Amino acid sequence: MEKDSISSQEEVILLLVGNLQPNAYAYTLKNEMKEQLNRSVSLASIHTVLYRMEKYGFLKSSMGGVSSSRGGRSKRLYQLTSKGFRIVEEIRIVRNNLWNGISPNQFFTSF
Amino acid sequence: MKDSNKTNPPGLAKKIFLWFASETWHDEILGDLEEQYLDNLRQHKKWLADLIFYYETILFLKPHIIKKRTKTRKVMLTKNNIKISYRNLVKDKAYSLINILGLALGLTTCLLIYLYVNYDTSYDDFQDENTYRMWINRVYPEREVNYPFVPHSFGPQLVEDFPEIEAQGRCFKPFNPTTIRVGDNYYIENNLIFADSTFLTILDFEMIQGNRETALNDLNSVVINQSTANKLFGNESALGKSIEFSGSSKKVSGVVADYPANSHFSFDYLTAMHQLPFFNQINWVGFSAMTYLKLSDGTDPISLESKLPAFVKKYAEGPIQKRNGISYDEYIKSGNGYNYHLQKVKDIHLKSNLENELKANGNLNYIYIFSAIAIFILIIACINFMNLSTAKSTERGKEVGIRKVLGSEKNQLVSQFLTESIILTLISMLIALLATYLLLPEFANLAERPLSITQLINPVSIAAILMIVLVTGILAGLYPAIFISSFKPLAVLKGKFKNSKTGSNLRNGLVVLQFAISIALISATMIVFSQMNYLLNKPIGFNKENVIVIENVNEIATNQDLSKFETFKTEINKLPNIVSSGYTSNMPGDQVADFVARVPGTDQKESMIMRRMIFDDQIQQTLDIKLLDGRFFSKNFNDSLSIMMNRSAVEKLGLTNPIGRKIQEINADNEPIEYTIIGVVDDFHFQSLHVDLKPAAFTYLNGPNGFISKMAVKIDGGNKKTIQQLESTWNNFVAGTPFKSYYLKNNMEQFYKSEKATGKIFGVFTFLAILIACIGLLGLSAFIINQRVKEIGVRKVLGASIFQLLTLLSKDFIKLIAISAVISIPVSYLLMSRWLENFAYAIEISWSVFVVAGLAAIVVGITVVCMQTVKAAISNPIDSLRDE
Repeated sequence: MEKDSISSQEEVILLLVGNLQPNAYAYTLKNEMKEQLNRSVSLASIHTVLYRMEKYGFLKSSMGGVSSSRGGRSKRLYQLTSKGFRIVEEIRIVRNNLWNGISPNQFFTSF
Repeated sequence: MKDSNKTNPPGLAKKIFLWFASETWHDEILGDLEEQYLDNLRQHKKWLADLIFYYETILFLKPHIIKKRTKTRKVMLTKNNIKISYRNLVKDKAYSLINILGLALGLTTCLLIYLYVNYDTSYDDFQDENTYRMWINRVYPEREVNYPFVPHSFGPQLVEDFPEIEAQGRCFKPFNPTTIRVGDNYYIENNLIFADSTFLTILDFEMIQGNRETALNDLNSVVINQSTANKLFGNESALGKSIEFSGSSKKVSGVVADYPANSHFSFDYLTAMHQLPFFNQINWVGFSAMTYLKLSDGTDPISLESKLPAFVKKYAEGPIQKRNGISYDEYIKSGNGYNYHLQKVKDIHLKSNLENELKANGNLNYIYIFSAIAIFILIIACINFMNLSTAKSTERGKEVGIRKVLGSEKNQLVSQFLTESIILTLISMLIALLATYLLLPEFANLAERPLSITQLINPVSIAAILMIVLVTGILAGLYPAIFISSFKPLAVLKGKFKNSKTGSNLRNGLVVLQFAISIALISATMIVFSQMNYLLNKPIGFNKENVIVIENVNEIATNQDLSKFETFKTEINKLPNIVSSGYTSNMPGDQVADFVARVPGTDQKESMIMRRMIFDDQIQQTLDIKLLDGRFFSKNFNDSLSIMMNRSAVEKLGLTNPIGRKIQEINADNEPIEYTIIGVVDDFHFQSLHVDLKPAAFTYLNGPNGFISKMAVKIDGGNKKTIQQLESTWNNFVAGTPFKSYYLKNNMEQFYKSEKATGKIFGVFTFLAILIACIGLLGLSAFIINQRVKEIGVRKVLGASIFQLLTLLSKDFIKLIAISAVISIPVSYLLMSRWLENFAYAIEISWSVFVVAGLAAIVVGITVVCMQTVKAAISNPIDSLRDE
């Protein structure tokens, strides 16, 4: 199934992966989410989004980065695919166009 | 180690995760979780970090992470499981038979107990939820009584005063039987009940003919039940037919279906209460009528109950003051109390124990005890099953080894063994159902309850039975399944077979439990039986042997004409084999009326309530009552205002020199009557030994309120002919009322009927429990001996005698049984002492009971073990040592 729209949470995750690359995996994503967006999400739900995004081809992953702080376990490191990059870029373009049509003054006068 | 423990996430959470998550995810997710955990440890306390770890782990329960379990493989396996189970069952028929029979025996016991408990807890299930009955806890300064009766003016007044009471209905059952006539046939009826016109709408009655609203309106109407209608009128319609009661003719105005046996209420005839003049008088103090109240929806009975004391004071204050000569408040202060309560009709049978109920109440404790026994017996049976299966497992070690080598997983093996045990349980259950069906008539007889197998045919029972099969099957099969499937394939295939220490500890624990239960049951049974024996043989202060009681002697002279009684007695005494005969108002074992007495001239305003019986001059020699002081009633004196008392009465009144003292009888309506004490008799038990001796007074038959209803006849040998002669004499005197008599001794034994039945049921269950425990021991000893077969062989070769081998092998079992005795004796001692508290006169529990119970268990145990060990000990050592 081709998916052409994503939710805003999915969008955020994709963007975060792009930011954290090449060190993007569930736990760093969770921490970044907390730091940048001040949003607490469980590992499990991040994991679910990552899993789904990979299934749709927006992300690709590889195993690696064994470290002792993880009890010697490897991580699944995620990367944006070109398809993934395109979909967030599309969103950005649409948003920018929309932003261009807004004049801030008409909102702030009412204060 | 300790350090790493501090920084390690909780192992259980990890295990849970590894269990539910598919393997592809294990590494990365656990890695993430652990990394987070370490970070959390830096910021939070350990417990919080642990908690977060658990929380985050559980959140991973998502469809894409959970392990996929293939269904198709399962179905095929189950089919295969069943086939293999069948082959195994058939392969060793003796083993399967013991196993199935043992389990079936346990299940049968459970089913029987279930039926018993189910029946007793179903009492009055069909009554309206909002119907309550009043009862009173009457407190006297020296005692308390609980009656189901309250003064009959309460009912209607309560409806008037309290809007939350919608309706009321009262009833009253006379002590004495009634004689009725239909056409030319006479019947003596014991179950005539006088009731309010509203009564048919208060309790649940199923009207077959007639109108429940109006059937009891007319004073000359009577409502009968179906079986009475059939008895009196055959197949004809009973409605409108007339029945002759003594003095009046009544028309049948309704026919009601026979009242369910599982109700506290029962009747054959219902007739209007207001034909008895007593019930038309105002009465606020005398306990006279069972009173049922229908409360409106949502009424809280407890808050209603709390309003009753004010109600009682308002109406009963006057009459109580008039009767006792002191004010109500003073009377209450002196230690008297009228505490009225409400009880749900459903609670009457099991949750209350009042005197003078229409039917004997059940005992909630017995329900608990029997349920516990059922569960224990089921546990014993399960333990057997486990022991037998594990014992058998040595033979299946090779099968398991091969299966494992061929790639069988552990849970496949477990499901194989579980299937086997569930199939076995299912077969046992079917046998148990059949056995229950066959044994039920006998058991119902023993338990004195109309039990029926149809009680099992309802969704709850069927679900319960299926649950029992499943739970028993899994309980009994799980341990052997895990035990067998954990064999190391290499070891079993090589023929090595060692048993773990924990396994044998568990099995030993199970044997101890089994025997503890058995020993407790044996000693309980022995105590129940010796208490029964004690009650039946305890000196009761009079001689109940060879006494025939003739009932309804008031029919000889309906106007209580004494000379007519005298002629009848002379005629009776002329008969051969008659030692003596005497008249009385009540025989021991009957309901006895109250008598309120006071010593005149004393300051004591408090009157004392005792029991009063009316005697003639010959009852003393007929019943062999011991005279302590003074003289007995005699024709040579004018004894109409003489009174005799028992020793308790004299002691309670505090009279040191009673002979010649005056006693006043206090009466609600009349002036006090003054009697003179002429004699004191020793206490004799005119009631069952459940209750303490009560003070009693005896007046002469020609005194005030003198009334005769029974005659005691002492004969010199139990002779059927004597009864016939008595009957023919009776028929010369009384036309219409049939002769009715009973042996006093048999009647007294009725008191202990329920204990006797309980004792018998106990005995049966004990026997079953021991039998099942023995089957278990058989299995266990077979198992242990199987393991030590080589050792026995070597010992024999080295010259051990058979006796030495026997002691060696039985020693361990005796140790186990001794431990069970130590555990069970204190428990059963405590439980049985509590049971004995039900009796005012009880035996002391002697230690010999427990010695006998323990020894019995050991003897039975050794016999079973020896049967097995002898076989092993006398076998040729070559057979056991040959193959290695």
